[in-house]
Amino acid sequence: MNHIHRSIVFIILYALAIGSWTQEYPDSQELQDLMLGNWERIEDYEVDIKLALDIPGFRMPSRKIHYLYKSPDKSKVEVKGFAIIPKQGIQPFFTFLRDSLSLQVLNDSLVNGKAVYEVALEDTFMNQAGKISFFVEQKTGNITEAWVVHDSREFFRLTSEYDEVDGIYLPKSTVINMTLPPDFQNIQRLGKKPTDMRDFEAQMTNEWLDGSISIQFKNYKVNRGIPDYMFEDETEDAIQD
Amino acid sequence: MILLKLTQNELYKIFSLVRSYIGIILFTGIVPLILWGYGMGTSHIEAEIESSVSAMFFIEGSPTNGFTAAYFIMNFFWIHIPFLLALVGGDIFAGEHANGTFRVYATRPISRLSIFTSKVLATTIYTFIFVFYFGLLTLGLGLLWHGGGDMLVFHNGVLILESGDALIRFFIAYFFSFMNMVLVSSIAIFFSTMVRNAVGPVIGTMALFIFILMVSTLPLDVFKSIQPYLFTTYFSNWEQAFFDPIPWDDLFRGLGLIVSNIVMYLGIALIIFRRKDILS
Repeated sequence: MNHIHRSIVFIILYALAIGSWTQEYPDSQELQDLMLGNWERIEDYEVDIKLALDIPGFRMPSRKIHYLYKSPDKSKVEVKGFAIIPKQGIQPFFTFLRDSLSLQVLNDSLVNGKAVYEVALEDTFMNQAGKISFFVEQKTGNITEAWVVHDSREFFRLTSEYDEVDGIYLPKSTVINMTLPPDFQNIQRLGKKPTDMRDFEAQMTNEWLDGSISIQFKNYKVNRGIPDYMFEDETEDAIQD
Repeated sequence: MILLKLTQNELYKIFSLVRSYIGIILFTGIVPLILWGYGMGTSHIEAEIESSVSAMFFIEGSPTNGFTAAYFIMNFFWIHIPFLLALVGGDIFAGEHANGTFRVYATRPISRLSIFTSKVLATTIYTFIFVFYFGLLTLGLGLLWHGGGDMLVFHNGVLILESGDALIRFFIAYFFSFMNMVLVSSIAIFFSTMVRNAVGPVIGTMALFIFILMVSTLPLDVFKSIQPYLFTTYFSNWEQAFFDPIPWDDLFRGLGLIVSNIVMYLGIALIIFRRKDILS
Protein backbone atom coordinates (compact mmCIF):
# COMPACT_ATOMS: atom_id res chain seq x y z
CA MET A 1 0.00 0.00 0.00
CA ASN A 2 2.83 2.29 0.97
CA HIS A 3 4.40 1.44 -2.33
CA ILE A 4 1.22 2.57 -4.19
CA HIS A 5 1.09 5.83 -2.17
CA ARG A 6 4.70 6.54 -2.93
CA SER A 7 4.05 5.93 -6.63
CA ILE A 8 1.03 8.27 -6.65
CA VAL A 9 3.00 11.01 -4.87
CA PHE A 10 5.85 10.55 -7.35
CA ILE A 11 3.50 10.77 -10.33
CA ILE A 12 1.86 13.92 -8.94
CA LEU A 13 5.22 15.53 -8.25
CA TYR A 14 6.46 14.54 -11.71
CA ALA A 15 3.36 15.98 -13.35
CA LEU A 16 3.75 19.24 -11.39
CA ALA A 17 7.42 19.44 -12.32
CA ILE A 18 6.64 18.93 -16.01
CA GLY A 19 3.82 21.44 -15.75
CA SER A 20 5.98 24.06 -14.14
CA TRP A 21 8.75 23.41 -16.69
CA THR A 22 6.44 23.82 -19.70
CA GLN A 23 4.99 27.01 -18.20
CA GLU A 24 8.33 28.72 -18.92
CA TYR A 25 7.46 28.55 -22.62
CA PRO A 26 4.26 30.45 -23.34
CA ASP A 27 1.99 29.19 -26.07
CA SER A 28 1.40 31.08 -29.30
CA GLN A 29 -1.45 33.19 -27.93
CA GLU A 30 0.43 34.09 -24.75
CA LEU A 31 3.43 35.07 -26.81
CA GLN A 32 1.29 37.29 -29.03
CA ASP A 33 -0.27 38.87 -25.99
CA LEU A 34 3.19 39.53 -24.58
CA MET A 35 4.44 41.14 -27.79
CA LEU A 36 1.33 43.06 -28.71
CA GLY A 37 0.42 44.15 -25.19
CA ASN A 38 2.87 46.98 -25.52
CA TRP A 39 1.72 47.91 -29.06
CA GLU A 40 -1.97 47.84 -28.21
CA ARG A 41 -1.50 50.63 -25.69
CA ILE A 42 -0.69 52.92 -28.59
CA GLU A 43 -3.55 54.99 -29.98
CA ASP A 44 -1.27 57.02 -32.19
CA TYR A 45 2.30 58.19 -32.42
CA GLU A 46 4.62 60.24 -34.58
CA VAL A 47 8.39 60.10 -34.78
CA ASP A 48 11.33 61.65 -36.62
CA ILE A 49 13.37 59.04 -38.46
CA LYS A 50 16.84 59.20 -39.92
CA LEU A 51 17.17 56.60 -42.64
CA ALA A 52 20.42 55.47 -44.25
CA LEU A 53 20.52 52.85 -47.00
CA ASP A 54 23.47 50.92 -48.32
CA ILE A 55 21.80 48.98 -51.12
CA PRO A 56 23.51 47.96 -54.40
CA GLY A 57 22.21 50.01 -57.29
CA PHE A 58 20.64 52.57 -55.03
CA ARG A 59 22.52 55.49 -53.52
CA MET A 60 20.73 58.05 -51.43
CA PRO A 61 22.08 60.42 -48.79
CA SER A 62 20.65 59.74 -45.34
CA ARG A 63 17.06 60.97 -45.22
CA LYS A 64 15.05 62.60 -42.51
CA ILE A 65 11.48 61.40 -42.60
CA HIS A 66 8.50 61.89 -40.35
CA TYR A 67 6.30 58.91 -39.63
CA LEU A 68 2.77 58.99 -38.24
CA TYR A 69 0.69 56.05 -37.08
CA LYS A 70 -2.86 55.86 -35.82
CA SER A 71 -4.50 52.72 -34.53
CA PRO A 72 -5.60 50.40 -35.97
CA ASP A 73 -4.18 50.75 -39.48
CA LYS A 74 -3.48 54.32 -40.52
CA SER A 75 0.08 55.29 -41.26
CA LYS A 76 1.83 58.00 -43.18
CA VAL A 77 5.37 58.76 -44.22
CA GLU A 78 6.31 62.39 -44.79
CA VAL A 79 9.54 63.08 -46.64
CA LYS A 80 10.97 66.20 -48.21
CA GLY A 81 11.73 65.40 -51.83
CA PHE A 82 12.10 61.81 -52.87
CA ALA A 83 13.08 58.68 -50.97
CA ILE A 84 13.02 54.91 -51.11
CA ILE A 85 11.66 53.60 -47.81
CA PRO A 86 12.05 50.02 -46.55
CA LYS A 87 8.80 48.17 -45.94
CA GLN A 88 10.33 46.64 -42.84
CA GLY A 89 11.82 48.46 -39.90
CA ILE A 90 9.78 51.65 -39.83
CA GLN A 91 7.15 50.10 -37.56
CA PRO A 92 8.33 47.80 -34.73
CA PHE A 93 8.88 44.27 -36.08
CA PHE A 94 6.21 42.69 -33.88
CA THR A 95 3.48 44.41 -35.90
CA PHE A 96 4.44 42.09 -38.76
CA LEU A 97 3.56 39.13 -36.55
CA ARG A 98 0.19 40.44 -35.45
CA ASP A 99 -1.74 37.84 -37.41
CA SER A 100 0.68 34.95 -37.06
CA LEU A 101 -1.04 31.97 -35.46
CA SER A 102 1.73 29.44 -35.23
CA LEU A 103 4.41 31.05 -33.11
CA GLN A 104 6.54 28.44 -31.47
CA VAL A 105 9.03 28.98 -28.67
CA LEU A 106 12.16 26.98 -29.43
CA ASN A 107 14.37 27.98 -26.57
CA ASP A 108 15.06 30.54 -23.93
CA SER A 109 18.39 32.17 -23.31
CA LEU A 110 20.20 35.34 -22.28
CA VAL A 111 21.04 37.87 -24.98
CA ASN A 112 22.95 40.96 -23.89
CA GLY A 113 22.10 40.09 -20.30
CA LYS A 114 18.36 39.97 -20.97
CA ALA A 115 16.19 36.87 -20.81
CA VAL A 116 14.66 36.15 -24.20
CA TYR A 117 12.56 33.51 -25.91
CA GLU A 118 13.74 32.25 -29.25
CA VAL A 119 10.62 31.97 -31.39
CA ALA A 120 10.12 30.64 -34.91
CA LEU A 121 7.40 30.41 -37.52
CA GLU A 122 7.07 29.58 -41.19
CA ASP A 123 5.67 32.40 -43.30
CA THR A 124 6.10 34.39 -46.49
CA PHE A 125 8.45 37.26 -45.99
CA MET A 126 9.32 39.78 -48.71
CA ASN A 127 7.74 37.49 -51.31
CA GLN A 128 9.88 34.53 -50.17
CA ALA A 129 8.66 31.58 -48.16
CA GLY A 130 10.98 31.15 -45.23
CA LYS A 131 11.55 30.42 -41.59
CA ILE A 132 11.31 33.54 -39.47
CA SER A 133 13.11 33.38 -36.13
CA PHE A 134 13.36 36.06 -33.50
CA PHE A 135 14.30 36.84 -29.92
CA VAL A 136 11.50 38.18 -27.72
CA GLU A 137 12.44 39.85 -24.45
CA GLN A 138 10.61 37.96 -21.73
CA LYS A 139 10.02 41.08 -19.65
CA THR A 140 8.87 43.57 -22.26
CA GLY A 141 7.84 41.51 -25.31
CA ASN A 142 10.20 43.53 -27.50
CA ILE A 143 11.74 41.80 -30.49
CA THR A 144 15.43 42.56 -30.25
CA GLU A 145 16.60 40.46 -33.16
CA ALA A 146 14.90 38.70 -36.07
CA TRP A 147 16.27 36.71 -38.96
CA VAL A 148 14.73 34.97 -41.94
CA VAL A 149 16.08 31.90 -43.71
CA HIS A 150 14.99 30.77 -47.16
CA ASP A 151 16.51 27.67 -48.81
CA SER A 152 19.09 27.52 -46.00
CA ARG A 153 20.18 31.07 -46.86
CA GLU A 154 19.71 33.83 -44.31
CA PHE A 155 18.55 36.84 -46.31
CA PHE A 156 17.28 39.18 -43.63
CA ARG A 157 18.48 40.10 -40.13
CA LEU A 158 17.00 42.89 -38.08
CA THR A 159 18.39 44.18 -34.79
CA SER A 160 16.46 46.71 -32.72
CA GLU A 161 17.12 48.65 -29.55
CA TYR A 162 14.20 50.08 -27.62
CA ASP A 163 13.45 53.09 -25.46
CA GLU A 164 10.60 53.47 -23.04
CA VAL A 165 8.40 56.39 -24.11
CA ASP A 166 5.55 57.27 -21.75
CA GLY A 167 5.64 53.71 -20.41
CA ILE A 168 5.56 52.15 -23.90
CA TYR A 169 8.53 50.50 -25.55
CA LEU A 170 9.34 51.76 -29.05
CA PRO A 171 12.44 51.28 -31.21
CA LYS A 172 15.23 53.81 -30.82
CA SER A 173 17.37 52.24 -33.54
CA THR A 174 17.01 49.42 -36.02
CA VAL A 175 19.64 47.92 -38.28
CA ILE A 176 18.68 45.58 -41.10
CA ASN A 177 21.20 43.48 -42.98
CA MET A 178 19.79 41.97 -46.14
CA THR A 179 20.91 39.66 -48.90
CA LEU A 180 19.13 40.66 -52.04
CA PRO A 181 18.28 38.21 -54.84
CA PRO A 182 20.29 38.43 -58.10
CA ASP A 183 17.40 40.02 -60.00
CA PHE A 184 17.80 43.09 -57.78
CA GLN A 185 20.64 43.97 -60.17
CA ASN A 186 17.92 44.95 -62.63
CA ILE A 187 17.67 48.33 -60.93
CA GLN A 188 21.01 49.09 -62.55
CA ARG A 189 19.39 48.81 -65.99
CA LEU A 190 17.51 52.04 -65.34
CA GLY A 191 18.78 54.88 -67.50
CA LYS A 192 21.34 52.71 -69.32
CA LYS A 193 21.82 53.54 -72.99
CA PRO A 194 21.03 50.73 -75.45
CA THR A 195 24.71 50.76 -76.43
CA ASP A 196 25.74 50.01 -72.83
CA MET A 197 23.29 47.15 -72.36
CA ARG A 198 25.50 44.49 -73.94
CA ASP A 199 28.33 45.18 -71.46
CA PHE A 200 25.82 45.29 -68.62
CA GLU A 201 24.30 41.93 -69.58
CA ALA A 202 27.80 40.43 -69.67
CA GLN A 203 28.44 41.68 -66.12
CA MET A 204 25.24 40.17 -64.70
CA THR A 205 25.91 37.38 -62.20
CA ASN A 206 23.79 35.01 -60.13
CA GLU A 207 25.31 36.24 -56.91
CA TRP A 208 23.14 37.54 -54.12
CA LEU A 209 23.86 41.11 -53.10
CA ASP A 210 24.53 42.42 -49.61
CA GLY A 211 22.75 45.50 -48.39
CA SER A 212 22.01 47.23 -45.12
CA ILE A 213 19.56 49.74 -43.72
CA SER A 214 20.04 51.87 -40.63
CA ILE A 215 17.02 53.55 -39.02
CA GLN A 216 17.33 55.97 -36.09
CA PHE A 217 14.19 57.13 -34.27
CA LYS A 218 13.81 60.23 -32.12
CA ASN A 219 11.23 62.70 -30.83
CA TYR A 220 8.46 60.19 -30.26
CA LYS A 221 5.08 61.72 -29.48
CA VAL A 222 2.81 58.96 -28.25
CA ASN A 223 -0.96 59.13 -27.71
CA ARG A 224 -1.22 62.88 -28.29
CA GLY A 225 -4.27 62.53 -30.54
CA ILE A 226 -3.35 62.78 -34.23
CA PRO A 227 -6.46 63.86 -36.17
CA ASP A 228 -7.71 61.60 -38.99
CA TYR A 229 -7.37 64.27 -41.65
CA MET A 230 -3.59 64.00 -41.29
CA PHE A 231 -3.83 60.65 -43.08
CA GLU A 232 -6.28 61.64 -45.77
CA ASP A 233 -3.79 62.27 -48.58
CA GLU A 234 -2.04 58.96 -47.99
CA THR A 235 -3.01 56.83 -50.98
CA GLU A 236 -1.89 53.47 -49.73
CA ASP A 237 -0.45 51.99 -46.59
CA ALA A 238 2.91 50.87 -47.88
CA ILE A 239 4.44 49.90 -44.56
CA GLN A 240 4.38 46.12 -44.28
CA ASP A 241 2.69 44.93 -41.15
CA MET B 1 43.82 96.80 -77.53
CA ILE B 2 43.29 96.35 -81.25
CA LEU B 3 42.26 92.75 -80.59
CA LEU B 4 39.65 93.94 -78.11
CA LYS B 5 38.22 96.40 -80.64
CA LEU B 6 38.23 93.76 -83.34
CA THR B 7 36.47 91.31 -81.05
CA GLN B 8 33.85 93.91 -80.15
CA ASN B 9 33.38 94.54 -83.85
CA GLU B 10 32.95 90.81 -84.51
CA LEU B 11 30.47 90.50 -81.65
CA TYR B 12 28.52 93.44 -83.07
CA LYS B 13 28.40 91.66 -86.42
CA ILE B 14 27.30 88.37 -84.82
CA PHE B 15 24.51 90.01 -82.85
CA SER B 16 23.39 92.00 -85.91
CA LEU B 17 22.44 88.76 -87.63
CA VAL B 18 18.99 87.30 -87.11
CA ARG B 19 20.37 83.76 -87.24
CA SER B 20 22.28 84.42 -84.00
CA TYR B 21 18.97 84.71 -82.19
CA ILE B 22 17.29 81.65 -83.69
CA GLY B 23 18.62 79.31 -80.98
CA ILE B 24 17.90 81.75 -78.18
CA ILE B 25 14.33 82.33 -79.39
CA LEU B 26 13.82 78.59 -79.96
CA PHE B 27 14.88 77.62 -76.46
CA THR B 28 13.01 80.53 -74.89
CA GLY B 29 9.90 78.94 -76.40
CA ILE B 30 10.60 75.25 -75.98
CA VAL B 31 12.14 75.10 -72.50
CA PRO B 32 9.02 76.46 -70.74
CA LEU B 33 6.98 73.98 -72.79
CA ILE B 34 9.16 71.07 -71.64
CA LEU B 35 9.08 72.30 -68.05
CA TRP B 36 5.29 72.48 -68.25
CA GLY B 37 5.10 68.95 -69.65
CA TYR B 38 7.54 67.74 -67.03
CA GLY B 39 5.36 69.26 -64.32
CA MET B 40 2.41 67.21 -65.58
CA GLY B 41 4.02 64.21 -63.97
CA THR B 42 6.96 61.87 -63.81
CA SER B 43 4.95 58.94 -62.54
CA HIS B 44 6.52 56.64 -65.15
CA ILE B 45 9.96 57.27 -63.60
CA GLU B 46 8.68 56.48 -60.11
CA ALA B 47 6.85 53.39 -61.43
CA GLU B 48 10.01 52.18 -63.16
CA ILE B 49 12.03 52.47 -59.95
CA GLU B 50 9.27 51.00 -57.81
CA SER B 51 8.88 47.96 -60.03
CA SER B 52 12.57 47.15 -59.47
CA VAL B 53 12.45 47.35 -55.68
CA SER B 54 8.81 46.73 -54.76
CA ALA B 55 9.42 43.54 -52.77
CA MET B 56 11.35 45.36 -50.10
CA PHE B 57 10.89 49.09 -50.58
CA PHE B 58 8.34 51.67 -51.56
CA ILE B 59 8.73 55.10 -53.11
CA GLU B 60 7.74 58.19 -51.19
CA GLY B 61 7.69 61.71 -52.59
CA SER B 62 8.40 62.76 -56.13
CA PRO B 63 11.61 63.39 -58.07
CA THR B 64 9.87 66.20 -59.97
CA ASN B 65 11.88 69.35 -59.36
CA GLY B 66 13.95 71.95 -61.20
CA PHE B 67 17.22 70.01 -60.98
CA THR B 68 15.86 66.80 -62.45
CA ALA B 69 14.04 68.74 -65.19
CA ALA B 70 17.21 70.67 -66.12
CA TYR B 71 19.16 67.40 -66.21
CA PHE B 72 16.76 65.86 -68.73
CA ILE B 73 16.75 69.01 -70.89
CA MET B 74 20.57 68.93 -71.02
CA ASN B 75 20.25 66.16 -73.60
CA PHE B 76 19.79 68.97 -76.14
CA PHE B 77 23.59 69.21 -76.06
CA TRP B 78 23.72 66.17 -78.34
CA ILE B 79 22.39 67.50 -81.67
CA HIS B 80 20.18 70.56 -81.32
CA ILE B 81 22.59 73.02 -79.75
CA PRO B 82 25.53 72.02 -81.99
CA PHE B 83 23.36 72.76 -85.04
CA LEU B 84 22.32 76.17 -83.72
CA LEU B 85 25.93 77.08 -82.90
CA ALA B 86 27.09 75.94 -86.34
CA LEU B 87 24.72 78.52 -87.85
CA VAL B 88 26.84 81.28 -86.31
CA GLY B 89 30.30 79.70 -86.47
CA GLY B 90 29.74 78.70 -90.09
CA ASP B 91 28.97 82.28 -91.07
CA ILE B 92 31.86 83.98 -89.32
CA PHE B 93 34.30 83.80 -92.28
CA ALA B 94 32.11 82.59 -95.12
CA GLY B 95 29.57 85.32 -94.46
CA GLU B 96 32.21 88.00 -95.02
CA HIS B 97 33.20 86.30 -98.27
CA ALA B 98 29.60 86.10 -99.39
CA ASN B 99 28.98 89.77 -98.61
CA GLY B 100 32.26 90.84 -100.20
CA THR B 101 33.44 92.68 -97.10
CA PHE B 102 36.62 90.66 -96.58
CA ARG B 103 38.58 92.45 -99.31
CA VAL B 104 38.09 95.79 -97.60
CA TYR B 105 38.60 94.32 -94.14
CA ALA B 106 41.84 92.52 -95.07
CA THR B 107 43.40 95.54 -96.76
CA ARG B 108 43.47 97.44 -93.46
CA PRO B 109 46.78 97.29 -91.54
CA ILE B 110 45.62 94.47 -89.30
CA SER B 111 47.27 91.09 -89.39
CA ARG B 112 45.25 88.13 -90.52
CA LEU B 113 46.17 86.48 -87.21
CA SER B 114 44.41 89.34 -85.38
CA ILE B 115 41.35 89.06 -87.60
CA PHE B 116 41.28 85.30 -87.11
CA THR B 117 41.78 85.54 -83.32
CA SER B 118 39.06 88.17 -82.95
CA LYS B 119 36.60 86.02 -84.91
CA VAL B 120 37.46 82.94 -82.84
CA LEU B 121 37.12 84.94 -79.59
CA ALA B 122 33.80 86.43 -80.69
CA THR B 123 32.46 83.00 -81.67
CA THR B 124 33.64 81.56 -78.34
CA ILE B 125 31.96 84.43 -76.45
CA TYR B 126 28.76 83.81 -78.40
CA THR B 127 29.01 80.10 -77.57
CA PHE B 128 29.48 80.96 -73.90
CA ILE B 129 26.49 83.33 -73.93
CA PHE B 130 24.38 80.67 -75.63
CA VAL B 131 25.32 77.92 -73.14
CA PHE B 132 24.98 80.35 -70.20
CA TYR B 133 21.52 81.41 -71.38
CA PHE B 134 20.50 77.79 -71.91
CA GLY B 135 21.70 76.91 -68.41
CA LEU B 136 20.03 79.95 -66.86
CA LEU B 137 16.80 79.18 -68.66
CA THR B 138 16.65 75.45 -67.87
CA LEU B 139 18.04 75.52 -64.34
CA GLY B 140 16.82 78.97 -63.31
CA LEU B 141 13.33 78.64 -64.74
CA GLY B 142 13.19 74.99 -63.69
CA LEU B 143 13.98 75.86 -60.07
CA LEU B 144 11.54 78.78 -60.09
CA TRP B 145 8.80 76.63 -61.61
CA HIS B 146 9.30 73.28 -59.91
CA GLY B 147 11.39 74.27 -56.90
CA GLY B 148 14.59 72.69 -55.63
CA GLY B 149 15.12 69.42 -53.84
CA ASP B 150 17.04 66.24 -54.33
CA MET B 151 18.06 65.34 -57.82
CA LEU B 152 17.35 61.92 -59.28
CA VAL B 153 19.98 60.52 -61.63
CA PHE B 154 20.27 57.08 -63.17
CA HIS B 155 23.87 55.96 -62.81
CA ASN B 156 24.48 52.28 -62.12
CA GLY B 157 20.99 52.26 -60.69
CA VAL B 158 19.36 55.11 -58.85
CA LEU B 159 21.42 57.95 -57.46
CA ILE B 160 19.93 60.76 -55.41
CA LEU B 161 22.00 63.92 -55.05
CA GLU B 162 21.30 66.54 -52.41
CA SER B 163 20.35 69.96 -53.79
CA GLY B 164 23.60 71.71 -52.77
CA ASP B 165 25.64 68.97 -54.35
CA ALA B 166 23.44 68.97 -57.46
CA LEU B 167 24.00 72.69 -58.07
CA ILE B 168 27.80 72.32 -57.99
CA ARG B 169 27.56 69.39 -60.38
CA PHE B 170 25.46 71.47 -62.79
CA PHE B 171 28.25 74.06 -62.93
CA ILE B 172 30.75 71.29 -63.71
CA ALA B 173 28.41 69.79 -66.34
CA TYR B 174 27.83 73.15 -68.03
CA PHE B 175 31.58 73.82 -68.13
CA PHE B 176 32.25 70.54 -69.93
CA SER B 177 29.26 71.11 -72.23
CA PHE B 178 30.61 74.56 -73.03
CA MET B 179 33.98 73.10 -74.03
CA ASN B 180 32.19 70.58 -76.27
CA MET B 181 30.24 73.39 -77.89
CA VAL B 182 33.44 75.39 -78.42
CA LEU B 183 34.66 72.40 -80.42
CA VAL B 184 31.50 72.47 -82.55
CA SER B 185 32.05 76.20 -83.17
CA SER B 186 35.69 75.50 -84.04
CA ILE B 187 34.67 72.91 -86.64
CA ALA B 188 32.20 75.43 -88.07
CA ILE B 189 34.98 78.05 -88.21
CA PHE B 190 37.25 75.50 -89.90
CA PHE B 191 34.69 74.88 -92.66
CA SER B 192 33.88 78.59 -92.80
CA THR B 193 37.48 79.48 -93.77
CA MET B 194 37.29 77.10 -96.75
CA VAL B 195 34.19 78.32 -98.56
CA ARG B 196 32.41 81.48 -99.63
CA ASN B 197 28.91 80.49 -98.67
CA ALA B 198 27.67 80.14 -95.08
CA VAL B 199 25.34 77.24 -95.85
CA GLY B 200 28.24 74.90 -96.68
CA PRO B 201 29.99 75.20 -93.30
CA VAL B 202 26.74 74.58 -91.40
CA ILE B 203 25.99 71.46 -93.44
CA GLY B 204 29.65 70.40 -93.35
CA THR B 205 29.85 70.79 -89.57
CA MET B 206 26.69 68.80 -88.96
CA ALA B 207 27.63 66.13 -91.54
CA LEU B 208 31.05 65.63 -89.93
CA PHE B 209 29.54 65.73 -86.46
CA ILE B 210 26.82 63.19 -87.25
CA PHE B 211 29.25 60.92 -89.10
CA ILE B 212 31.71 60.83 -86.20
CA LEU B 213 28.84 60.51 -83.71
CA MET B 214 27.56 57.44 -85.53
CA VAL B 215 30.98 55.81 -85.59
CA SER B 216 31.53 56.54 -81.91
CA THR B 217 28.17 55.12 -80.81
CA LEU B 218 27.79 52.07 -83.06
CA PRO B 219 28.40 48.96 -80.94
CA LEU B 220 30.50 47.26 -83.61
CA ASP B 221 33.81 45.67 -82.76
CA VAL B 222 35.47 47.14 -85.83
CA PHE B 223 34.96 50.68 -84.48
CA LYS B 224 35.85 49.89 -80.86
CA SER B 225 39.55 50.59 -81.26
CA ILE B 226 39.08 54.05 -82.77
CA GLN B 227 36.20 55.22 -80.59
CA PRO B 228 38.45 56.51 -77.76
CA TYR B 229 40.04 58.93 -80.27
CA LEU B 230 36.79 60.41 -81.58
CA PHE B 231 35.61 63.61 -79.95
CA THR B 232 31.95 62.59 -80.03
CA THR B 233 32.79 59.72 -77.66
CA TYR B 234 33.23 62.42 -75.02
CA PHE B 235 30.21 64.52 -75.94
CA SER B 236 28.23 62.96 -73.13
CA ASN B 237 30.99 63.63 -70.60
CA TRP B 238 28.81 66.25 -68.90
CA GLU B 239 26.70 63.34 -67.63
CA GLN B 240 29.71 62.15 -65.65
CA ALA B 241 29.48 65.29 -63.53
CA PHE B 242 26.41 63.65 -61.98
CA PHE B 243 28.10 60.33 -61.25
CA ASP B 244 29.09 59.32 -57.75
CA PRO B 245 32.01 59.61 -57.36
CA ILE B 246 32.77 61.98 -60.23
CA PRO B 247 35.25 60.18 -62.54
CA TRP B 248 37.64 63.12 -62.81
CA ASP B 249 40.27 61.10 -64.70
CA ASP B 250 37.76 60.23 -67.44
CA LEU B 251 36.43 63.78 -67.53
CA PHE B 252 39.87 65.34 -67.97
CA ARG B 253 40.94 62.68 -70.46
CA GLY B 254 37.89 63.60 -72.53
CA LEU B 255 38.55 67.31 -72.04
CA GLY B 256 42.13 66.78 -73.25
CA LEU B 257 40.86 65.22 -76.46
CA ILE B 258 38.25 67.96 -76.94
CA VAL B 259 40.86 70.72 -76.42
CA SER B 260 43.33 69.01 -78.77
CA ASN B 261 40.58 68.84 -81.43
CA ILE B 262 39.80 72.53 -80.91
CA VAL B 263 43.48 73.38 -81.37
CA MET B 264 43.68 71.12 -84.45
CA TYR B 265 40.61 72.54 -86.24
CA LEU B 266 41.48 76.15 -85.38
CA GLY B 267 45.13 75.57 -86.33
CA ILE B 268 44.16 74.24 -89.76
CA ALA B 269 41.59 77.02 -90.12
CA LEU B 270 44.28 79.63 -89.35
CA ILE B 271 46.65 78.14 -91.94
CA ILE B 272 43.86 78.14 -94.54
CA PHE B 273 42.86 81.70 -93.71
CA ARG B 274 46.43 83.07 -93.78
CA ARG B 275 47.14 81.47 -97.15
CA LYS B 276 43.82 82.41 -98.64
CA ASP B 277 43.71 84.68 -101.68
CA ILE B 278 40.94 87.14 -100.98
CA LEU B 279 39.98 88.37 -104.41
CA SER B 280 36.40 89.46 -103.92
